Amino acid sequence: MRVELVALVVPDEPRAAKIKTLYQEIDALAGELDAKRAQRLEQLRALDAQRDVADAEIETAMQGLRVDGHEAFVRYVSLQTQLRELLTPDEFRKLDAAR
Amino acid sequence: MLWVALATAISLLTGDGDDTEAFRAMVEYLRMRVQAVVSDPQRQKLALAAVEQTEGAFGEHRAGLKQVGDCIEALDRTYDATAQSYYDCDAQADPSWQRVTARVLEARHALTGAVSVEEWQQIVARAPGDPR
Repeated sequence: MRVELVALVVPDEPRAAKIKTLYQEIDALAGELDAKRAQRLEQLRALDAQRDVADAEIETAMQGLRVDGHEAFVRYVSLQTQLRELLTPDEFRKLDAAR
Repeated sequence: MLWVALATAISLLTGDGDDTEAFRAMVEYLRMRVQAVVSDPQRQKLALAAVEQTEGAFGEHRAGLKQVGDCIEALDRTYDATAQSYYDCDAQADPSWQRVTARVLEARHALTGAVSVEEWQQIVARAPGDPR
């Protein structure tokens, strides 16, 4: 929704295009994280058949979920920071209202 | 089964309403499998207690993640939010992850201590209705 509104809120076309790309990247992050989590879960399922698995293996598998989330978050923060560099406070407020 | 189902639940947890149903379905399925497979009443009680312990751990974890999610959402709406303020929000999740991992391991020890190898294999085997 915000992506569609960028052109209406940001009059400067080259800047609007950059902002649109950032919003698209933010939207894509969730899908990428889901894909990584699906891989982690497959690893966990491989452990699943074993009754006697070392705690460390379970800890590592669970930490993997956290690490994936954190990596995606670092990217998210970078995108949010870039958005603020490109948007004026008023544009930011208008686009935020469209959430 | 125990940690796979629950790790699946972790991956679904966002603190939002939608994940609650999936989590409950997995815990309920695990409870049902334990009841179906472990016939000895005393060991079944111990195994179900382990399931309950895990359920509690994830409930707490979910609440922790919701706090982090709310914190980030507030920053998303704030023009002056800095990268550091985002990282401060996210750091709040670390203790929650550490706690839930420790409690899952405890619960898993309790479960493996309560069930035989054969029972474990039956519990982890996929069956109709498995929500994983």
